[in-house]
Amino acid sequence: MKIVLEVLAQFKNTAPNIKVSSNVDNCEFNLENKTNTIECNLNLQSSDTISIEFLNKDDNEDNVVNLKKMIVDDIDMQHFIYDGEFFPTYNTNWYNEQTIKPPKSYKPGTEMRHNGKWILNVQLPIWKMMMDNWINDDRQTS
Amino acid sequence: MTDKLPKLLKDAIEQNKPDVKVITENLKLPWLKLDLTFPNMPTYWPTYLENIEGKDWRGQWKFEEDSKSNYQVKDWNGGLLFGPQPHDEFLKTTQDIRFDVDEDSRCKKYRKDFKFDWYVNKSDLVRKWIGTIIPDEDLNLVNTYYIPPGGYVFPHKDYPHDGVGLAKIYIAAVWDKGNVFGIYGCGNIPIKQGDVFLLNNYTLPHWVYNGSNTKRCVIDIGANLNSPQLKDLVETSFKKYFQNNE
Repeated sequence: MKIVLEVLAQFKNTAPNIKVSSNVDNCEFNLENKTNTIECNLNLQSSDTISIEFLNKDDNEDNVVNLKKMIVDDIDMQHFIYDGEFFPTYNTNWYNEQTIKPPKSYKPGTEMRHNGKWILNVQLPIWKMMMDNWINDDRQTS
Repeated sequence: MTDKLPKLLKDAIEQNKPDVKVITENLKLPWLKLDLTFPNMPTYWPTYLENIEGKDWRGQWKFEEDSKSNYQVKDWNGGLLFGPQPHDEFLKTTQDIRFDVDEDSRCKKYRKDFKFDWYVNKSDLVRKWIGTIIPDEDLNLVNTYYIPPGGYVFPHKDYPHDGVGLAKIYIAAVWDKGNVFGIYGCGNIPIKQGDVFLLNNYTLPHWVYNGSNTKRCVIDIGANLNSPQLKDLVETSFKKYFQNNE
């Protein structure tokens, strides 16, 4: 299934590398531009995950990956990308220096400032998943 | 025959009937066709649509993005026929309400705090027709929604402030075959030209598309459904729809 991502990259010398995966498939990208539109085909099961792994955090220059848009099977996931959760793999030295420990995960977590994996649970068909999420959202409804 | 029954059961059997409050607030019906037909006005709509050309309904209600830049809406527009006045003052005062509450709900919530009146004169045909069904004091908001062929609104959900279900009176003023009003999990509403429906846009995601070759125009009314006239209309329509074997 076609996955298109719009990802902003912040860096001086070390362009971020990311791995985009489903449960059974993956592809890697080097984000060389400030704004990157990348495309890959992933084999997606009826209940699966789409994940983005930030692989080469450079703590000296503070490179950052920021997911702005995700299009799955030609459907813009819109605000549903904020349902994804980022699980950072903190630099051990940095982590030990923190008197107040940072959280194990962030949700929304589209801005990745550490190595780690952003994970979005998906169900196929995508359009139906979006509608079901709307039905079950926690805002006051009728 | 019911004389020897316990009083609770006896009263329930004898007195149970459709109730507008239960139908609109407790039941989460996606739609109810009202026992009413809107007259054909072939000369009214071309002139009306010409008059709202260039106006931006979403801009008027201060939505974050205007109609042109919002990709979720293609060529959809509307006009305000009845509502709060002055409109800008209303928006300023009511901006503290939750951002996702729709304009119908906002007008309902602040109905007594502002002057509400018509934006069209007394001779306007739509105003005159609505006046035969709903008195002005029971109106909260009257909008027209317009979509040219090929126009659409993406799937979305609206949010009320009071947990209501069926709420909008939706009139198919100009509606050719090929038009769609879809509600998730329910299929398309079986709307035909001149139909009047009570819609629930709050429980389920929904979308619209004009797949016909002509301009589509609907009238959307937010009103006090507990007013005597509307209460009777809703209850009668419910009976006709669900109890037509009687």
